[in-house]
Amino acid sequence: MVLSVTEKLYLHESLVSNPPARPDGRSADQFRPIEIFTDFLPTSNGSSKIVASDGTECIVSAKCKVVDHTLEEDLIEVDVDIAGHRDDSPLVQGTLSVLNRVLLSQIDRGSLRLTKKYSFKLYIDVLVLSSYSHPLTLISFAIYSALNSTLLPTLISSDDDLDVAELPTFHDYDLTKLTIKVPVLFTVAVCGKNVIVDPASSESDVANNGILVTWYDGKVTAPVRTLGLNEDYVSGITPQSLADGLKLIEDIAPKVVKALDS
Amino acid sequence: MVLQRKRLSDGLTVTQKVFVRSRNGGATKIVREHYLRADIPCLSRACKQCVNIVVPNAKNELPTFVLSEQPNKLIDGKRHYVVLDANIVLQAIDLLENPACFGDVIIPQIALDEIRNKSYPIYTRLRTLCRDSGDTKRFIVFHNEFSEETFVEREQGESINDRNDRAIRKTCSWYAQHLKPYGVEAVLVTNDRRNLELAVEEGLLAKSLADYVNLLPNSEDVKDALPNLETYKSRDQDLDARSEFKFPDYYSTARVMGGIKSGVLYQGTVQISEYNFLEGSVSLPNFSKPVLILGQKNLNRAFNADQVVVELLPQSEWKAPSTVALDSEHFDVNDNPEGDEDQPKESDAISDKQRRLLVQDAIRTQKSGRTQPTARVVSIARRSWRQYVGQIAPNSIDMQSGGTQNAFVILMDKCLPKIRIRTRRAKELLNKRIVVVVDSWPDTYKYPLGHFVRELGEVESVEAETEALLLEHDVEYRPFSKKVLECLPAEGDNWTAPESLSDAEAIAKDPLLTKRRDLRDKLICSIDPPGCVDIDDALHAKLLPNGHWEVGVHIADVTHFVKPNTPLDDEGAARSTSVYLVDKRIDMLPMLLGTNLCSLKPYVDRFAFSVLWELDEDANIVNVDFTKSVIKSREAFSYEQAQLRIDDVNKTDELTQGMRALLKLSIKLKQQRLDAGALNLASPEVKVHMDSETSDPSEVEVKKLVATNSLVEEFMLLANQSVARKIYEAFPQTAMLRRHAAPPATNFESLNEMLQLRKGMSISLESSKALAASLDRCIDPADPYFNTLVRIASTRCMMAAQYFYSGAYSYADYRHYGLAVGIYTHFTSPIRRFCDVIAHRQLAAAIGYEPLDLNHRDKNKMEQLCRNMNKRHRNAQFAGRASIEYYVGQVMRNNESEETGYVIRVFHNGVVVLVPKFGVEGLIRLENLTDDEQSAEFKAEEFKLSFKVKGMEKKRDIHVFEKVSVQVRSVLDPVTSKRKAQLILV
Repeated sequence: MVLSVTEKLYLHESLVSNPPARPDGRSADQFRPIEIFTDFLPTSNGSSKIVASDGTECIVSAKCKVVDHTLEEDLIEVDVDIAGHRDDSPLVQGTLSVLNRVLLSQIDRGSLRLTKKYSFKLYIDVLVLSSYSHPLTLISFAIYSALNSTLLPTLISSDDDLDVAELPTFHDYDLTKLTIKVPVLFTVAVCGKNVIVDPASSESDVANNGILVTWYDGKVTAPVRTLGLNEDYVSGITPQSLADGLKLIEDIAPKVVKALDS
Repeated sequence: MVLQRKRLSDGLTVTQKVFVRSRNGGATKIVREHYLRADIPCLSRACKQCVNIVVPNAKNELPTFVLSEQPNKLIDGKRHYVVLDANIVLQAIDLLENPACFGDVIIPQIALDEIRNKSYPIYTRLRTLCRDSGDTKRFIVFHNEFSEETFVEREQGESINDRNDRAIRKTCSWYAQHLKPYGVEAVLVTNDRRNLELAVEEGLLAKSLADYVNLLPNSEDVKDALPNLETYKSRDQDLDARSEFKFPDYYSTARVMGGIKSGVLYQGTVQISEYNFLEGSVSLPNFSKPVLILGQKNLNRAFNADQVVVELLPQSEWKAPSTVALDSEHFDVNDNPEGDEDQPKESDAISDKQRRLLVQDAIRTQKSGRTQPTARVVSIARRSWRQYVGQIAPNSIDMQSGGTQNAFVILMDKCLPKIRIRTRRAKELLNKRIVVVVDSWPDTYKYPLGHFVRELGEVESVEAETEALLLEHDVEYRPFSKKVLECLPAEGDNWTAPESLSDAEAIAKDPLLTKRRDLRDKLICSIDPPGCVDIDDALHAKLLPNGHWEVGVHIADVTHFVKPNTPLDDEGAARSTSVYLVDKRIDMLPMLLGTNLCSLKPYVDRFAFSVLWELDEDANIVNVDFTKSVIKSREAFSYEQAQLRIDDVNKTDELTQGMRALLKLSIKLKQQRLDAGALNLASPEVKVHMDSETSDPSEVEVKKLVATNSLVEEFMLLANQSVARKIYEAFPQTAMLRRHAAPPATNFESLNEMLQLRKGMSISLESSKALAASLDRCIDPADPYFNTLVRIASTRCMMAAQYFYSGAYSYADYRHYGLAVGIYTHFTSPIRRFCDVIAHRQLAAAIGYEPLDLNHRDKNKMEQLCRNMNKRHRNAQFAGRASIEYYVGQVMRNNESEETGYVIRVFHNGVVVLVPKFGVEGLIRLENLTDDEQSAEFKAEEFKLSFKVKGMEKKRDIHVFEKVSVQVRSVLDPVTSKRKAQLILV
């Protein structure tokens, strides 16, 4: 949706007013409705599909491979494909680097450990079928749901193979649920003195700035960074806005995670 | 995720099968669609419904209903079908094949799958049973996995075995329900305790194998063939047989795979020493010499030729190979089959890291000294179990007891342990050769458990001994099947080669006829041993105007009759070689071909494959040509006849002139070969003369050679080389060739050491030429036979020649060491060797006669063929030798004599002596050498055994290579009832 200058100005005015008047009537800390399906791809170990009310749709699949963790540094590898964007476009590259960084730095390698020598390596494939607003939050929700519904092959050989070499052997049929803490990413738009969560595309177009906040294990963690949401309205960010943004996420993140877990 | 069925159309539903494939430590989730149908019939003739649902298959054939409407009754009069669990088939396939029991049998598909995974030979036997048993046995496979009615889904947490057992029970209950209206019961037979209990719980008619056999009206007849297993029932009763003795547990698959990958465990094939059955060795790729495995515990239930995984033992347990000769029949003779015991001993645990260091040490030690690294078996990758021939050890049974009892069976193969069987007929079977099968070897039993299959006959009767040695060497000796015989020409013995190669009628029958050359004008003759009926080869020579000679070698055209991919071809490939026993020949191809249609008999037209050379005066090849031909042999000579004809100065006809030329050329060829370094090795070959009336063996003679032998031989070698070059040129990747590798120096180590020490001689291994020359130098002026002895000993150090396809090795490795030629194949005896048949086909393709069959252009197929040919060839040689050995034993039974012998090995507890006259060698045990065994002294480094001579105070030293006088007589071993040449030092 392309807005005229006047429309944008009007929208901006409404968002900076106190309290912010969002075009779809949401309050500052309210998300748009989303729908999540999990475990619908039989051949992958975990999968999820998320659909937002504006039509943004994203599919995530997680597959596993057994690797020697003394040789393999990274136990998670993310691949992102966004429909309509080239693989080397800034959006895809930016999303990819954020996801890789967040997942690698936050996820505990121990939760993927099989034996003293071997671990699972997770390959996470993200496919954004259509995106109308910044897809990062949705992608992270989808990854969260996919990993939390991931079933990995059950190890039946012994898990101590340091002194006595053993190749991991797995149960022919049984799968074990992966227990892992997954970070969630939130995007917050700064409009004047207001901060609003989950900006729709029209809101992104007029926001003064965007903040990416990572939520992991019950608290805000690194990376927290700004996101350029548009080119016309971008201005600097005040410490107050940043603090407000973090506060907002601290308030709502537990509820969101709870909703995702249910 | 819940799997659900989705109906696709009437009678077809789809569901998903999800499983994890573990391979090389990886884990892949696999999802397969699985289709279920409603049109799988029960195949019972009693059933009135299933005929309505059957649909034709792709060939538009309807399934045949096999199961009888009047099946066999049990004791209580119930008519029944049998549903079999996989374990029953695996344990008792012999029983299933027995015509006296098991009619109307249903094999659930899931059981069949399990059988195929566990044992492919048993699977093929079962398949044959289902296909061929027809109306006599009535076996069917019911595809329970694809039937909507009987498919079961795995439940959460259920093991796959439990699920499969449930599927089998479901099949049985479906049959029981389905056939209820027709008065037929379904009996589930399983030896799995849990499955049995659950089946009974579910209200099914279920029995263990033993219980089921008891329910049969003729149970007494079949009971003996019941496999001897450690079932849960026998485990309770059999406590006395299980003792404190316990073999170490095998490692888990995870451990074995991890260990092999990280280089601490190794896989190889066990070879049990023929002198000591408690000593084995494994050839491993990283080690220059085989690694030793010493003792029962370390061998850990491995049989000779099993594929095993081994682990090195700590350095403190490394040893020199044993200098004690020991065989299973004389070891623990008094062991009681009713109970066996031994004290377990724990070996120290070492970690993998230390073990990796140990490998380095082991390889270094092998290179340096006499101590050798030892290892122990930790897992058996593949068993080599087959049917074995043996006889019951008389002292292992209780002659008073009439009932079922345990007995030890001593196998003919002395590398194998004795086998414990349960039988009612122990007394009856005493002194008979019997066939037994090994069923299991639980870790608490000292000896493997097996069961009786059938008897071959009295010990020492010709029939029993011949069949025994054929069985032991895995030689297929059954008559050719109907399908094979159907491939022979319809004309049978009346087949003739067409009069004219341009005859339209003949060409219509065989369009390739025009490509044959008519060589009926050539003066061809064959030279063979006397009484030869399968004449493979014939020769001719003709002087050309330019002074060169045209020489032709004509080989029977077997491939004209044996077309690829026919049952005849398959049978030939499976047999791979004819087997020559003293009194019997087991043919590779049916008689009609071997002795008539292919045989190049004199005076008749025969098809041949000809190699034609132009040779100059010095027997150098000027030109070579290959062609399919039709020939007419003028005469079939024996070696002596040919020699006489050549020597007869009065004969000046063209044929004789040709033969003289052949002889002259062959001498030149031989000289060329010897100059190039061909070896002249020896083996103690003997021939047994049979009394023509009674066909009893009467005399043993060492084979003699005449000049005409080598005439034929030289031209065959030349033909083989020419053909090898031609087919290699045409098929560089899959040409059928034969190679002979140079012997590794380590093989000659101990022989050279003995020679050096005793005679101050040595054998050079630089090249075959150097070897030949050094063999010529090994002469003891005092003893003309010594040179032959060294040659015999060297032959044993050689590598075996082997068949291979050209893609398997690089050109440099094609060399035939013994013949000193660069490339070689077998082409000249297609009637009795399959390699030659393949070479014929490849040569025919190379000269554009007919296209080559795909099988001979495919590396994998060629690899399989070569492996089988090598194995069969070796077995045939062993069988032939065993046959001679048996007859030599029979001859010596009547003539006891004193002969000259040579000491060829010295052990701690005896010496091995070879008697050239009979070609026999035997161990003289220390107890037969001296009265005072304590006085004996063995010096390994001097190859010397000293002992006090019987009845005297004087000490006697025996060295290796020493010439001794021995009394040879044949004795019947009381323990094994084997007749053996017994040697006694005089």
